[in-house]
Amino acid sequence: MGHFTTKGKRYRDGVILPSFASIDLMVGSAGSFISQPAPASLPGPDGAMLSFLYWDTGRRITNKRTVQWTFNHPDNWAEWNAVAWYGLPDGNGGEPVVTVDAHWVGVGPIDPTPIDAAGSTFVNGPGGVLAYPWSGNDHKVRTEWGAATLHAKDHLQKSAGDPVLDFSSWTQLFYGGDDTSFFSENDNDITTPVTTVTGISSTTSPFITAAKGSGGLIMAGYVPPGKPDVAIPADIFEKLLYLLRDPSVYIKFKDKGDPSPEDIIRLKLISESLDLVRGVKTTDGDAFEGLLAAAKKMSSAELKRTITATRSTLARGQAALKSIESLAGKQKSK
Amino acid sequence: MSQRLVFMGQEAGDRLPQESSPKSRRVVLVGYEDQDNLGIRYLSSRLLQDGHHTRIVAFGNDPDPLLRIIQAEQPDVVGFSLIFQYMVPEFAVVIRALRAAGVSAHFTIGGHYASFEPDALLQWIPELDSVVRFEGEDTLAELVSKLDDLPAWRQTPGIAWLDNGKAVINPPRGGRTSIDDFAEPDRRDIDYRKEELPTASVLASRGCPWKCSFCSIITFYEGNGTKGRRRRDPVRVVNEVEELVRGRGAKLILFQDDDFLAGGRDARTWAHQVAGEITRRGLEREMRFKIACRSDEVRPEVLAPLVAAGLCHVYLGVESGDETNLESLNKLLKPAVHVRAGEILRELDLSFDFGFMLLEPWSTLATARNNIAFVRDFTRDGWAVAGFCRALPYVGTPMERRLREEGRLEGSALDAEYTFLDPRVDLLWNFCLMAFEGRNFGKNATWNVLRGFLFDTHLDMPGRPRDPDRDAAARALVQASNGIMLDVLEGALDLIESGDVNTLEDPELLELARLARNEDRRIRQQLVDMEQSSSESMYEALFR
Repeated sequence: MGHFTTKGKRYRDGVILPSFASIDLMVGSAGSFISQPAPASLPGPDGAMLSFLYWDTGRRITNKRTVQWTFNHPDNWAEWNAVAWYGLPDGNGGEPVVTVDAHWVGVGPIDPTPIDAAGSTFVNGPGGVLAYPWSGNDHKVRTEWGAATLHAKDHLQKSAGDPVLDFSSWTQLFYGGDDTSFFSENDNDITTPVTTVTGISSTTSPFITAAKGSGGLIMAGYVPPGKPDVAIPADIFEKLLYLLRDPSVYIKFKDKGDPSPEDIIRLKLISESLDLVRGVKTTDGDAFEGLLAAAKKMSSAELKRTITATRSTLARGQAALKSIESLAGKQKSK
Repeated sequence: MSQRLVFMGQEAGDRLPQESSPKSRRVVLVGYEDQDNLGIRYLSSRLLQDGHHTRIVAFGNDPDPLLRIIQAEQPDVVGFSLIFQYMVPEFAVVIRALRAAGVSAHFTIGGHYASFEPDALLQWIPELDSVVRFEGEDTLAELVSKLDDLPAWRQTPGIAWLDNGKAVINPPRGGRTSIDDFAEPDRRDIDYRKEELPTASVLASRGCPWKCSFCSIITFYEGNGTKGRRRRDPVRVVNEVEELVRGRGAKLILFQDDDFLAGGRDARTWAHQVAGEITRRGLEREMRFKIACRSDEVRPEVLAPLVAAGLCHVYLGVESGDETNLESLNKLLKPAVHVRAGEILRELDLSFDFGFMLLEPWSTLATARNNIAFVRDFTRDGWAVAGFCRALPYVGTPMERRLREEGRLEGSALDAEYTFLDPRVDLLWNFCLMAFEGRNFGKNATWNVLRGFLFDTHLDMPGRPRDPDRDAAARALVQASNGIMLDVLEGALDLIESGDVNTLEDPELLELARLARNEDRRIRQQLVDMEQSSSESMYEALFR
């Protein structure tokens, strides 16, 4: 049986809004669901009217005003808290400036900017005027001179001592929210018991585009890292299996001469050994089972990307091997 | 090394301004200094000949350091070296800040764009007093000598200036037919021995006889009335190299000639004379050098004497691997010539890198696909780093003129832009900007870093023997970087050509871009891990 709550809070300070119709219930039976529409606006503690901004469903962020939670595994979680966030509309004074903030799903807004400046593209103004950071503020992007393609930081930390969070999603927010249909949330992936429900990583692309001349608020959701992601190492092995099973790809490799396919596998293992030595996350548990299961769900485009990534991994493995041999040669000559 | 001017010839262009000013002027010369900026260093040496005091300052976007130097130097003239038109806004910001801070020195500017569009430039930056057009040594020297006399300096041949808001363009100055008359570049402020790989630049010739449609070199020198390529006396060239190597500690010489072998049989003979002079003095035992040339000039019998003299690296102006693109670029050669050049360079054990334009204004998806296939084959073994840009319509080029005639250039000359004839090619290019920013584009791009890295690992010279394993490691890493870029590019092209994708925000394009960027980050990190004792910035700076 799980404890589920909803609350209304003021953005960004988290002051609870008593005027919001909170929910507090115990969920016992699998398959039950609950839906809650958040009002478009509410009076704040000081009487000022606040507009709906977004739901933190406890797992993801949405600008839709209505969320429907479906509980299929209520015995696997103990606590699930969702919050509707309300704020004072801030249009950056009508300027073509986008504000970009970060939110720790299940917790609240956090201060560091989610914008990965190196991975993003901006169009600067005449005379080298920087579109980002606009006016020295690393949360603001000026879009007057062209669209900005924002890339989210892969990881973010609220402050020292807090967990390093993983990117989850980008959401374009509009004050008053999206009143069309509803956002569907569930616990389908919580198949082993947890205490508190947490967010889901990588639910959208890390890229989002702010159109030329646009303003408003874009929110990046971040979630705590889960247990070691078996899908990553599994993916690597599946790529190898795929390569060796597909005759056409096999021939391409053979055409390139050395290394032979067997060498390729060996190089990959060496590369992973290097990762182990360097403390990088590697295979955990029985990778093959998880990988084969994941491979069945791959689309054609995903498989192509897999091949591309695998080729790169193999070449990098060979680079690592030669680098080790170089080091060994130097040590031998000392 | 002492300099002695030789006055020779009867043409107007050969006569130097004899009446050097009795008054010594203070001149600050400002330009990009990624590698030795020979342009401003030649200007400086010319002014030094006339007894002026000069100081060379690297251009930076922050005007404050330059302002502090100017306040300390109190120069009479500040000369700016502007390389590309796209840098005009950056120069404008700095120049305006200097004027706003009360700097009253004469401001002049030179370079390719300034030479072609002095009117537009003066309108854009009215804080400038003059523009020195085309080859600037003698023009600047005369201008500086006449500064006290306003009507006189405004008569200086080869300059442009603003008269009540209207540009006045004086008749051009004839260039010197013999460039041996120029003093060697002023390198007083450079301490090569401080560098990890002491590297110096040398110019053995000026100009280029080829007429590539994207290039303004030939038009630039025609502005001075000089044609083709003017080569220096091989002995003088090697004198300069010897001084740099034995006197200043340089280990690597970068010949900055646009095309070291251009000019047919005479040029090949000249190149062999340079090589012969180097070996006669035994300099190949102390240094290595790099040249740039075209693919059709790469022949074993032409390069072999240069290799014996220490040639270690060649920059090839490949530009395209598609036949119709090459015609449009007026390269006057076929893709197979590039392929053969690559084979010869490998056989000679020379490292090489190359310039490449994936797209030019008349490109199609089909030409882009041909280019991808070409680059994949050309760089298959990681011997060279695959990188590319898009042809830009530089002022003064046939390409710019053709685009204007076709009504396809939008915006001012400064930021003239074109779109492709097929909007899907625009989408492909926008994808490239999204996926390969950081890999292909920008000063600190992976492409640049890897080029320097490959060069460094392949370099084999006394006191710096090549480590074959390290070299192989570098090539494998380059293979990874080339492969991911080309696979992703081809994947994007497939999607766009299929018609299923027509926006940059398509999820599959975004995923491809993410793959490219993530993998590029891993490759950069691996390079750092592999080269713990060296800094990435050294490689990046080498060929910037």
